[in-house]
Amino acid sequence: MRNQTPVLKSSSLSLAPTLTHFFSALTRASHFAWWYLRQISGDAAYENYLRHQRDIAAAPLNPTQFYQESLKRKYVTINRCC
Amino acid sequence: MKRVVKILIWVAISALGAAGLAAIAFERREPLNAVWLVVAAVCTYAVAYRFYSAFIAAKVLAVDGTRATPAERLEDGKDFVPTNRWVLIGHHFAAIAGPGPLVGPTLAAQFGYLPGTLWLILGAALGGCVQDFTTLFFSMRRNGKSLGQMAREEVGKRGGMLALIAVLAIMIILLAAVALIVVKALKDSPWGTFTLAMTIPIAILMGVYLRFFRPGRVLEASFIGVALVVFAVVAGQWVNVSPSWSQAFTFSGPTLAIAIIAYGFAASALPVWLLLAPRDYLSAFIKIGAILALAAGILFVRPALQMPPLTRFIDGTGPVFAGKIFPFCFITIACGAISGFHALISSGTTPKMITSELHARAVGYGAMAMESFVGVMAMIAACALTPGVYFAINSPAGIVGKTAEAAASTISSWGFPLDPATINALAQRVGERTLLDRTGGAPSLAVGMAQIFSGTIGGDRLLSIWYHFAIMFEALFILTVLDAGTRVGRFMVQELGGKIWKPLGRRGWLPGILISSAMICGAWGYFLWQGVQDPLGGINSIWPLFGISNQLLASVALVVGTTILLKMGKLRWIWVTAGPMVMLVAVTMTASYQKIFDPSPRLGFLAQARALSAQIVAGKIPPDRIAQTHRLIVNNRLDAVVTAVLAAMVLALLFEAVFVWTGLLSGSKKAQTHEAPYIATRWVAGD
Repeated sequence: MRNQTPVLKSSSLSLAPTLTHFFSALTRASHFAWWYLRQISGDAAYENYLRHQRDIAAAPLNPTQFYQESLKRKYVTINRCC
Repeated sequence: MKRVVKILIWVAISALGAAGLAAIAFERREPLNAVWLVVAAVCTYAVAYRFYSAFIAAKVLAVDGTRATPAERLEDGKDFVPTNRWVLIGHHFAAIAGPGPLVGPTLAAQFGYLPGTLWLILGAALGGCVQDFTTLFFSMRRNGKSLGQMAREEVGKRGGMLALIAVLAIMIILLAAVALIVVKALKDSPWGTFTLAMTIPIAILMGVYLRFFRPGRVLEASFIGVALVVFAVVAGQWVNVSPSWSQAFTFSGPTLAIAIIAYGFAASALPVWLLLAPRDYLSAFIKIGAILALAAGILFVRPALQMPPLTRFIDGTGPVFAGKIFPFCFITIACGAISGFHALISSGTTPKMITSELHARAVGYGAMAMESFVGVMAMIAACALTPGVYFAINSPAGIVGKTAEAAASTISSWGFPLDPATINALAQRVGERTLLDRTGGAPSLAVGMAQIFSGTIGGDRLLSIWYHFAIMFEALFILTVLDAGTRVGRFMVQELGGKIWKPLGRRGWLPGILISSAMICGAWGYFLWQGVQDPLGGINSIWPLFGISNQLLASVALVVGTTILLKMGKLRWIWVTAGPMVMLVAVTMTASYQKIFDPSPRLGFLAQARALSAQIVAGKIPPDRIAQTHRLIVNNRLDAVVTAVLAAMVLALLFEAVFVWTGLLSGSKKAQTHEAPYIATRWVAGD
């Protein structure tokens, strides 16, 4: 496979590196978009919590307990505006 | 060289923004293209963010990137969580952007597109963004304290109590106003009512999924929920054409009002995981999606604005709501320009999640600029309608008449030509029986949005689907504000009531939950009922009342901010918060005075009460409507008292603050702020 790289380069000039950069940028962008969506929606909240509990060496709540407790905390204060 | 390029880029952005503002203000030859509004708004926000917010951060607040934030010092993985800057901007934006920036500009379009657009752009850049940024910063420096706590500590003991009562009062009026918008949008609309009703079982399904099957898997549940809601919008057309189903989902205003009050009570008293939380997830997804789609649609369609820059109604005789351009343009558009409610969010969850002090600028100032842009888009959607259609939808039957012919005749006499066939055909094309007397802003915004969406995808064939998608989107997140607000209101009632009768203060006590839920629903339900019964459409009274109370809360936040700046020794830069504060106090006090005492019955609450009494005495009211008229008289007097009490509370806080300022400036009072002590951050600046 390695031997084919120069052939590709010579036949398509700068197209291959451009495409590679494009797809790698696209992959990075989609990873970021997925990460962002999970963070902002709260989907990753339990993983973030587990990481924190590991850091401070404390026993974590299970997913159901954590979910219920986080809802209780969230909806006792004003969290939606007009 | 790099510096020169940067300077040139900012000069170009500034010139483009100035050209946009000049086009909005002076272009008169032909209908203005909406792209000019977008250009003016985006360039102004960019310049204001780059220079004004940077100036505030550096000179006024002295933001310090070496200082540890509460999220770092008090990190607990629950409330205090260091959060990525971009994620936090998204969280904060989702929290502050509700129905206000959509409804307010739509209503203010009765003055033409010019005043509302300028207020949205400049009000946000110089007022709203500043309020959000400074409140967020001051709360962050105080371990995430609430506005009420800061008012108590920095201004005086009475300030805290006043803030708590003001917040509860504003919450009640806000909930009534948004509920009235839903009632007006769904009245006699089986398609819209069916779609919105379906969101309740869909939310419960999501709640059960998240609670028992996949705890916390919000994305999975939301994808399922969004798919089902989109299906419900499409299925609504089958309900609409079926005689029996259509009849089953056709409700009058009063019936819908009772249903919404019952819903609010259930959402407040039921476990939060069952209805409130999943509905919030669903609403957030659809809200962000619809806003992005509207932005893309405006850029794709580039609609021309049919509404003139200024209408004759700047003189205060408008049919949508009464009152002159000053102060009522500034009252009608609160969210999107400057909204006191934001100060509650900026001093709530967000300051506990900021990783670095340097991020406060992007989160506080930047997210508010984004919300203001939502307001500009709503203004575009409303003003892209022909003025005749806009006024036909938004004017109450009490003013333009009940039939299409009567409405067309009245509206045409104002100089906005309208053919009765046009409004009837439009109603048919969007799948409604009528679009007349749909006050509240939501239906006209939905028509505007549907025209933009159908211009992008589907053409006229999908107009009715897009209209009902827009109605569902507005009603869905209005109901989310309603149920979340009712629940928080319930806790406030329990907190205040617990001081009088202790058991009421216990959050887990079922009778206490039921009593406090009934009290808060009864309070906003009363104002909602009053709006539904009002022959002038209700929104004419309730929206200005909401705007006044919201701007009064903004005045409170700016009074607190000004006091803190003085204590920080920043007298030189005091105008940054004092300027918008003076403007808002002038606006709200003028509006309060006019709403209470103006001699015109359409504007002044007391004048309307007097006019109705005179009609009863003169025998002009039929016997079967005398009892209802007596209720209207009581309602108007009550509205006058509520307005007066709110204004008096803010004046009391202002006088207390002036006393503190005088003491500080004369040196008789020692400047003592309540900031948390400096602790250096362990983290490198940035994320």
